[in-house]
Amino acid sequence: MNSKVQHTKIEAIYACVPEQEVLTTEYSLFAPEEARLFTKNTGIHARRVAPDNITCSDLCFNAAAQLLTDIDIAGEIDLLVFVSQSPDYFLPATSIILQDRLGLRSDCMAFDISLGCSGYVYGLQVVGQFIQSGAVRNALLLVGDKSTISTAYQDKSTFPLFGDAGTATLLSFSTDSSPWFINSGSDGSGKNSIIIEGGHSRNPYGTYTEELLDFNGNKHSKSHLHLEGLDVFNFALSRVPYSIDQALSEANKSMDDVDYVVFHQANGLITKSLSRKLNIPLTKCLTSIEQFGNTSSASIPLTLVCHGNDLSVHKDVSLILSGFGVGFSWASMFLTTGFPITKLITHA
Amino acid sequence: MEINEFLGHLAEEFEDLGVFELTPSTILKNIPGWNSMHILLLVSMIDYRYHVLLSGEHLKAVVTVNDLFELVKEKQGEF
Repeated sequence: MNSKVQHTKIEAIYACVPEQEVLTTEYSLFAPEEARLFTKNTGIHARRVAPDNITCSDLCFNAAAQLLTDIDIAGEIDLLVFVSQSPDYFLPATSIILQDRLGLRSDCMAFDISLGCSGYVYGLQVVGQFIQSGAVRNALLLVGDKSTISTAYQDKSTFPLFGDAGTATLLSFSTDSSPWFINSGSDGSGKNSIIIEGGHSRNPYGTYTEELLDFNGNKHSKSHLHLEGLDVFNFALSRVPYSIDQALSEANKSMDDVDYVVFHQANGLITKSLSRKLNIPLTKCLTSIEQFGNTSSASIPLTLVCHGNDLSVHKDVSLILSGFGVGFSWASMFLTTGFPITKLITHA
Repeated sequence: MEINEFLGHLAEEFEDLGVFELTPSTILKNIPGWNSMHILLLVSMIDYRYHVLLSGEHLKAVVTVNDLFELVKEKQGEF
């Protein structure tokens, strides 16, 4: 579907990553040449990995707490949305826990959205709808994942790919902001291409064994993330260009009007393939995968933060943000905006 | 679409082949260091160069470079 969001401004984006950096060359299942080829094709030199006692919500909390310290607006937050596929608990919703931890008012609405790599653009869209309706003046969108909790060490297709990150985006009502044009969609026939089968209602813990199963040489149990790389690749190349074209068309713009494109940081090969299919110079494609790996739902805001210092010199930038992945689910958005305040912090 | 051009495009993608020479009869799985990343590289190249997006199902029957060449030609004919 196509939609338009008006009167909504992205004021600030903060990101928090764990302190521990793990290099691709440190993954013991890669021979040196294999590690070199992996880095060459995925772009990933390093990723950040959260320790056992740190959750995605802790990373998002740190990002949000720093943001609310720098911009004194905690008492005026009307809505908190947490987008993640690694919540703290089965229930209650993590957003409600974060409302309390951040000291937000009790009449602040809070809810979770369970989406992965498309989640940031979906989150912007949902929050934007509340803001443009006039019901909400200021909102926090907390987006992130601790994907490393679900990857099996013996699975070369996932373990060296994913990193952890949490982000906080402050959005506010603004009469002078340019409209956003968004295309979004879903295709549940791709559910088995990125899936953790075990642990919830369909296959509750205790109803299956945790034995490692072999998937073309990669081993993981039903409690681990299973990723069919070729399916995801085909999905991205078939859906994302159309989605971006739709967003641009709704905005009456062409790719020539776009300053920068931020794709979900799935891997470098997908970014390269999408950019050449859409005829976008790679220099227009902002990335963060080199230092942080695939950070799932956090990858778009984290990438914006990584380039915040360079982009903040522009009065306005025109951006395409395009998230795609687990579900399958996708969303692409065109916006022109003064670049928000950004900050990257490390969770010690 | 010619087989030599196709071989050239494949070799460009697999630039780490060193002295290994690709021919129409090369068995893909025998390419040194062959892994799932190579499959993504060739699918990406074929999509970009020949506007054909191959799925895992399409590739199941592919053994040699020539099988791949013929598959791409067949799929091009479908459009």
